[in-house]
Amino acid sequence: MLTSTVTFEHLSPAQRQIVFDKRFSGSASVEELQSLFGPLARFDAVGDRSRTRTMRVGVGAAVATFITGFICLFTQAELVFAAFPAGAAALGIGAAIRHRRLKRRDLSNNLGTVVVPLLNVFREDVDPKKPLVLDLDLRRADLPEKLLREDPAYGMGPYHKVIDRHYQDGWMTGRAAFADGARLGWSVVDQICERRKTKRNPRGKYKTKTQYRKRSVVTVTLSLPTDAYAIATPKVAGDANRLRVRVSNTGDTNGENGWRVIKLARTFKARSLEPMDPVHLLDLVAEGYRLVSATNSGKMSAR
Amino acid sequence: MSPFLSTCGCRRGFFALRPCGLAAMFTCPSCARRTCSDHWAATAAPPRCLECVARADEARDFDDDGRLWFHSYRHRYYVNQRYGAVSYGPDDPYYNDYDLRSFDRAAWTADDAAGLADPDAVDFGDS
Repeated sequence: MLTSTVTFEHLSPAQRQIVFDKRFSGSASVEELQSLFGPLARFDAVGDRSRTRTMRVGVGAAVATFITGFICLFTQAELVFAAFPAGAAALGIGAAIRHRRLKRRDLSNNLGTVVVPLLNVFREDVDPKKPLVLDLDLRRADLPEKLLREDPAYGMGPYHKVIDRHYQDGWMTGRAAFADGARLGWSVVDQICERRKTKRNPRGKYKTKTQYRKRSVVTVTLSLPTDAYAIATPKVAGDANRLRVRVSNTGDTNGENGWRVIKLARTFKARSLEPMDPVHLLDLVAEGYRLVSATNSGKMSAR
Repeated sequence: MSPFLSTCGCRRGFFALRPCGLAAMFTCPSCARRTCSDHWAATAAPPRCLECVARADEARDFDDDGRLWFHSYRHRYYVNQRYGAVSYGPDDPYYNDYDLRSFDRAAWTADDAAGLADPDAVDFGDS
């Protein structure tokens, strides 16, 4: 539960800039990134709730305008009663303006659902002396500039016109150095298919339905120092859970400057645009660590 | 670990665990380990180390500054995903439930335990 309401006025200039740009690219300590994104995620959650409330008020006002206007017109009510539909209409217009303003400040829910929990986890593993590099795109996934292609319209059952639009949204990449000497790089790319289906019902009205399918491709590159880790699991082929694994060595693998590079990728499917569970990314990093065993020559720097 | 060493008995990390290394200021009434202020849940009832609070209230979704949330999340992750983290430092039976993969026990004893045992570097909990 939120302990306090975070409004736009409470945000720092840097945070307001992120709200306007809906993008972040930079490197900082995990603590700094947490203090930057934590209030933003709370602000976004408060904004989402306000938007839902405003929309309800707007719909209620529109219905009230229609009903009171109907009563005034057809019951020959006195002029003073015209204040009811006029007031309801004004409330509806106000709600629409507020909704539009709130929508302009809306950030992707990936921030609060994925990025903030990930930073909470990474804070414990990241080397405090080294910054975490993060590149975020918090805009909507179905923007025209993220459109990959649009398939030609086709018919399907009762729907006479179906249009599939394919979007690609690479919304997060990051790099971090861990306290055990490991280096981690990760990226999340959402591939979205928007299906717009239009049909004509028996009364002659056109009805359009929009459905989304999402595939999140999560890629992790875990580089472990050869003097601290050895490959423990000989089988590194992908398993049945759509996990792709590739292990290679770089640098002086017998000395102190070599790296065991483990690349892991997995695809997760969803039937909505809701953010993925951050545990999927953590699972991939954990899979990388599961492939190795610790050797006796490495040394961990205590925090 | 000697109960007289005033170094925090908790472990930092998620994928690879390491000794906290900070000076201990409290003693956890549940696990009897010495604990630093970073790993101390002062608002818990009774006040305990974060790891004990996280284990006791594993189903709760904490909304604090992230420290208690992290320890609860780590505990649930280790249990549910059966993840055996690489663990640095000497063995601690407190973590036996997690099936950790010990790292460099001998080297840790030789290098770091020597540092910990340095009387100039260590202050005693009850002094």
